[in-house]
Amino acid sequence: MRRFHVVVNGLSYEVEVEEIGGEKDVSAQKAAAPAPPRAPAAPTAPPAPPAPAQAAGGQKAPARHAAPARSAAQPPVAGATPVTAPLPGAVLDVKVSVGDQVKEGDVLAILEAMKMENEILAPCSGQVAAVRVAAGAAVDGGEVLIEIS
Amino acid sequence: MSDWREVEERRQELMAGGGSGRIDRQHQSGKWTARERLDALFDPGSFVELDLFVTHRSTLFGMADAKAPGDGVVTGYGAVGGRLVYAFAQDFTVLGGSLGEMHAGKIHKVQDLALKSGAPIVGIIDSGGARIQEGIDSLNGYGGIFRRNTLASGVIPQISVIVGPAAGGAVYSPALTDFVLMAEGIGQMYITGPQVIESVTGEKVTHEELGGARTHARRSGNAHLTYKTEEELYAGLKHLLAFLPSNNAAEPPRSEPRPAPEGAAERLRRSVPQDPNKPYDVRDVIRDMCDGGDFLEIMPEFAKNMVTGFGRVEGRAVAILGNQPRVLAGCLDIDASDKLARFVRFADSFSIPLVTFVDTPGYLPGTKQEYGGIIRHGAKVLYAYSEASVAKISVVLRKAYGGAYLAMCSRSLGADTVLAFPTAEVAVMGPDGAANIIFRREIESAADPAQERQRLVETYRAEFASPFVAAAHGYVDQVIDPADLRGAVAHALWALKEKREDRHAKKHGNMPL
Repeated sequence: MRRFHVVVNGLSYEVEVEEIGGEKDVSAQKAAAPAPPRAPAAPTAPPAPPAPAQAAGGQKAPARHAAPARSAAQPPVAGATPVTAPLPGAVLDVKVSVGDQVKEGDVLAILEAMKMENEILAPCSGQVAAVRVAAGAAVDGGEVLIEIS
Repeated sequence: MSDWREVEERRQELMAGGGSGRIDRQHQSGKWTARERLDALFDPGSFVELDLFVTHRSTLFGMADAKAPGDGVVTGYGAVGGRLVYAFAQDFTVLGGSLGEMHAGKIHKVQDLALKSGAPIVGIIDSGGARIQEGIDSLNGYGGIFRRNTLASGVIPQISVIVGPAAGGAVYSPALTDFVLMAEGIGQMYITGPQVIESVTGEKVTHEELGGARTHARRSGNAHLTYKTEEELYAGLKHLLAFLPSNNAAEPPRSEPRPAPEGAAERLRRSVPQDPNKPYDVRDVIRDMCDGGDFLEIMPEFAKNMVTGFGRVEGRAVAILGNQPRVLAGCLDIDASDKLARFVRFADSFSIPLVTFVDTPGYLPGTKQEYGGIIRHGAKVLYAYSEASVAKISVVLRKAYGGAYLAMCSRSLGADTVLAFPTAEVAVMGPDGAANIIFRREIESAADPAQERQRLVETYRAEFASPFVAAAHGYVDQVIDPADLRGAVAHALWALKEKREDRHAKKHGNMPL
């Protein structure tokens, strides 16, 4: 068993790696969360899905499987419409909070990506059911930012 | 011997289609009849019906006694806004609008007439599909439609209207035509229906989710324009036809010039933010250039990072394209490339000048794009613009970097006129990336690399990220006051009115697909 400290997108993870018959089994455990955005990963999470691999500067994050299993920790709100990041980037601003009423086309958040402050618009009218990210968070393309019910 | 009374009697009988019961059912399902649809399309009293007396000659599977007025399709020609247009409308009240041998034969006939006469053709689709009882004769009918669609492509505008089911092979005729218009809730297109999908893959999906107007407008990109009601659809169809010439040898129709919207010139000075990080809606710029602010956006819901549509400048129809900085930062991606290339090729086929607005940071990075084939899809943009011999006018609004700058109808691809706003940044890449490479040593060896980097980025931006380097090398013809956009484009259109550009004789090119 070998233990590593791995930093992915500014978050530090403690990773244990054990070699079994030449195949590497990787399990992830979150050690510390310097930034607020991530929810704690379930400690018993199965091998996590591929992490947001795009670190600053376009380098691959060193341990792809070490990210918290976000989807397992944050089940989607039933019946809510997820609003996803169209591009990998950094959340500059979140304009709404849980419970706010929004109309289709309202600006929900600003995502800086491709050197552009992209407006994330509400795809439908409704109530903000969940806010999955905070300003400063780095997100992957397709990652859920906000849910509207 | 029959006299005129008998002709009229027979005519009346056939005009009733599937009869009042089936017509009521058609109305109850929210749909119009074939003849109501043609009435909505054509100028009053101008429609001339052909082949009213045609019927099937099938005897198998109980078909011998089956009555099929007009064999389930109404065909003919008439005037739309005073101009000749051919049309066929499938009649769902007759054998479910199913396509048999004679039904197809009627469609073939109007397709041939439209092509020979150099007039647009509109196909109104509302059909249960192939008439199974007629077997391979029915299949042959579809094949004949596809082949005629293909041969007419680029000669006459072809438009499909989906106001009912279009399943299986029936969807391929619309796909081969230039524009597909759909009405929400009633028009559906798919290759295999929900039942087949469920039996094969277990997926459950409704007809509307699978192949409705919203799906094809937003996800698949198969529909160019969608409408809430049939009434709006035919009004929209006439709006579209008014921009199109009748055939590839005719000029696009001219209309009475109308002024730009009130306050357009002043607004144009503010439309494009100075800060390259700020998004804006490129359609605001487009509308302020167009006569009366009239911009008919094509595929407004699909690949929204690329805007395509028709407008007029001083009465001349133009095909307008623009990167949309509001969506995906204006990046080019697979869907945007497809959308752009097909629109450019349509416009070029029919001599509609191209006006391209450029503001893109580049091709969208990501494995999804690379694995999805952005290389060959992105190449379509280069191919379509290079191939186009119609007047090509480009307006660089802001970012024009690297490969994407080249792709967006640059001088290098044969743009005839290149205009630039003062906010334009034409360069090999963005200042950040360029400074990192050019000044790598300086940045690394500086006492404070971050600060030095920032300083050098600004140096680069000031020197190279402007329209003036490109203008100094002749890649940009004029750097304009944004308030003069409309005038500058109008002048360029006038100056390029008689543009001729010959190409090598060939069967056809081999476009990347």
